[in-house]
Amino acid sequence: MNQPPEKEPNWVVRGGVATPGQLQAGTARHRGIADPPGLCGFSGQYQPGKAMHELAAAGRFRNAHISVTTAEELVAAGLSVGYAVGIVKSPGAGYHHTVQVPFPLRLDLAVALSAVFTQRLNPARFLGSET
Amino acid sequence: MAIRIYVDFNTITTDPKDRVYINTRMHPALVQMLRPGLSVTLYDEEMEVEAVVEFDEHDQVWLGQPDWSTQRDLPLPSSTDTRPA
Repeated sequence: MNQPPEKEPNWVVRGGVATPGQLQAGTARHRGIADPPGLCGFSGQYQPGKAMHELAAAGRFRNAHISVTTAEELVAAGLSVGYAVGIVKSPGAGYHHTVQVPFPLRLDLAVALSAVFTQRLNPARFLGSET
Repeated sequence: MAIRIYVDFNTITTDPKDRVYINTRMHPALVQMLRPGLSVTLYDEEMEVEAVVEFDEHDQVWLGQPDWSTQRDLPLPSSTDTRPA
């Protein structure tokens, strides 16, 4: 009997090493967005059903490594230190989403979120300038 | 010598011109140093690149326009897990 196809985890993929400082440096008020007003957070590639390598390619990351977690792990990590973390579709390249966090990103939350990312070699490192 | 500024290169994905966001909330001292046209070095844990500073009047934020021909990899901290994807 055939097994049903394995469901992809709900990956969230970022370029580079998602250290606490990296997440803090990338947290900002999202520019050029009206709804929700004042959307604050850091960028990630996210699209349920997409494989990790597809998300990495869509992000066109120039870093040699990517950092990977799941939406569920991010939300749980936020809750573990008392913050509601959301993942909101927002303008940007590929499957861009904003991981919604308070701005500026507090260190305790940055540490908790960083801890659920793992680093892997970037399977689709962007080296060129093609559009 | 160019100022070195720690950034998150993921912020490129939100900018139509592939510019990098410079977080002056994280580095308040930068506000006194930045000016349009200034040459800087943007870096994260594993790479660096030369860039020219711009100021976005509409959003009131500082940005760096990288010259990707100058991109260089940096040694990665040894604790990083580099399993293949």
